[in-house]
Amino acid sequence: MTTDAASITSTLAQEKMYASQKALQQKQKEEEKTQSETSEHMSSVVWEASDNKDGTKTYKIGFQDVVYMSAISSSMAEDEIESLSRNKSLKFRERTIEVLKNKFIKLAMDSYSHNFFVSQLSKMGIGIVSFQMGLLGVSGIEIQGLLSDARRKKIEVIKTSLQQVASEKVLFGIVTGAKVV
Amino acid sequence: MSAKKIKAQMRVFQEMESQLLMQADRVGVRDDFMPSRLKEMEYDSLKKHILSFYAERSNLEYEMQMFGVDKKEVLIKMEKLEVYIRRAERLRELYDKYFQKSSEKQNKDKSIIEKSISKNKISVSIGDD
Repeated sequence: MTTDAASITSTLAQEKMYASQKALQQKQKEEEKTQSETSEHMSSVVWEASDNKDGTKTYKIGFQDVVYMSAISSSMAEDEIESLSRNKSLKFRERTIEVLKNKFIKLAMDSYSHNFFVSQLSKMGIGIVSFQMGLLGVSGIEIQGLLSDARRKKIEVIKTSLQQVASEKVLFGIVTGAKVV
Repeated sequence: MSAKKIKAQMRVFQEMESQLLMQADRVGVRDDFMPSRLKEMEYDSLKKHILSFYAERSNLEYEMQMFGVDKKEVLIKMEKLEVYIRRAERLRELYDKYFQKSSEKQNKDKSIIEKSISKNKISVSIGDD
């Protein structure tokens, strides 16, 4: 009797386990279904695929630039970027390069900051982004050109800012009668 | 505005200037923004402000003469504008004096350097002995 009772309880437990497993699997399947309908996954990068009338496919990044940038810089593996760079049919390759170039110029400008931490962090960022651009096929000469562009822009920004400060100072002197000379 | 607030505001301007100059130093163009150059920038912007004040005054005069605007309001504006113009002109005089003084100083330094160069002339004679 005891053995019978034990077998009954064990089969009951097994059935319960199977049922829970089945439910879990079904849930996972449903989730996968909903994901495949809206977007395609490639480990860390997500993009939307839409079919054109002529049968070709276009890919569109579904993320905002910032999210995409962070995905690229933090979670994207090197081999993924390499495989992306080889696949020329992907539309967002150019867009990625463009985003990276803009980011690179901003970081290069920040590297001249008066704040020590800002300048150091942006120097680190320059290293990361230039490496990524290299993987995407941007040449070293082009990167150098971007650096000199950023320097020229920074000089321009400094000049205009100093002019603005001077103008504000003078206006303050006129309005309040303070000695500014 | 109290003297304390004016001082605080001037400190803010100084801080902004020093931060920008530090950035210029890091870019490698610190020499382009020497104190005299900064003063020139201030002088240029002062001239621009004076011009805009005069333009505003003439606009107000024209408005008062041609259109039937509220004369009292315009007169109050004109009065304020006159004060600003007077202050701006005084500031311009101060800047003129500053530039005059600095140019005199530069000339003095130049003459001192020239004198010291002429005194320390080293003559070298090349011969057998």
